[in-house]
Amino acid sequence: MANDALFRAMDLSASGLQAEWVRMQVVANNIANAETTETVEGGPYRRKHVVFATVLDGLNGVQVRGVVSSLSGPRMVYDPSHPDADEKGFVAMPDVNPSLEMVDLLAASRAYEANLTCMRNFKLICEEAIKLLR
Amino acid sequence: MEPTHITPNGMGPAAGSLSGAAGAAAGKGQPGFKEALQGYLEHVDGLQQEADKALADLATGKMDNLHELIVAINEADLSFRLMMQIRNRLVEAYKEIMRMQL
Repeated sequence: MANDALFRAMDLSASGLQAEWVRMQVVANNIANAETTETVEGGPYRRKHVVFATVLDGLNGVQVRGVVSSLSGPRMVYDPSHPDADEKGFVAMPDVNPSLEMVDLLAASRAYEANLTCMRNFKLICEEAIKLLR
Repeated sequence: MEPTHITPNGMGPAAGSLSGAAGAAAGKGQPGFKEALQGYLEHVDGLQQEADKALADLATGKMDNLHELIVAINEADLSFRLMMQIRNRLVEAYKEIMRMQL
């Protein structure tokens, strides 16, 4: 990315776009794995959260610090015919609530739009300022 | 947080040397107007090449997002327009001088 202070506002918006981009991917992954009972680390899939952090101090935008697993336990569903059911017939399902994920997805896309609007407005005022030279 | 960080540093070298143009005319070691313009031209050219590279990266699948391309193209576009306006003013000033009655 261009390290150009003249267009710093655009780079800041771009960092926000990147953050929301990752957030949308995390939500998509949560929804895709809403019924996953087997993972590499064993047990059901655990809902993922994305953690945002500022870049250093000052006006440097946002960065994704990491994607962490949810701390809440699995949802137990009674289904004795399921291959992953325990001896009592309960299956540990992921703690993913699809309606919550949809709300998160909406919030992420609105935040993405907000960053796009920032960028668009910055471009507009830049163009207007350049027009003053005519 | 210091909002004063946002200064048009991209124009820094150009703007700085523009004011030093008079000094260069006086024969000092400061960069003249030509160097200032050339420096800014190279800066704009660099941004254009960066945008080109971003487009190629997206097309070849090296880039996994759209906004980097958008930012690169916008920055190249805006600085090119600024450069064009500066050039227009320059040509205008030159014509004005050539029209001068001696």
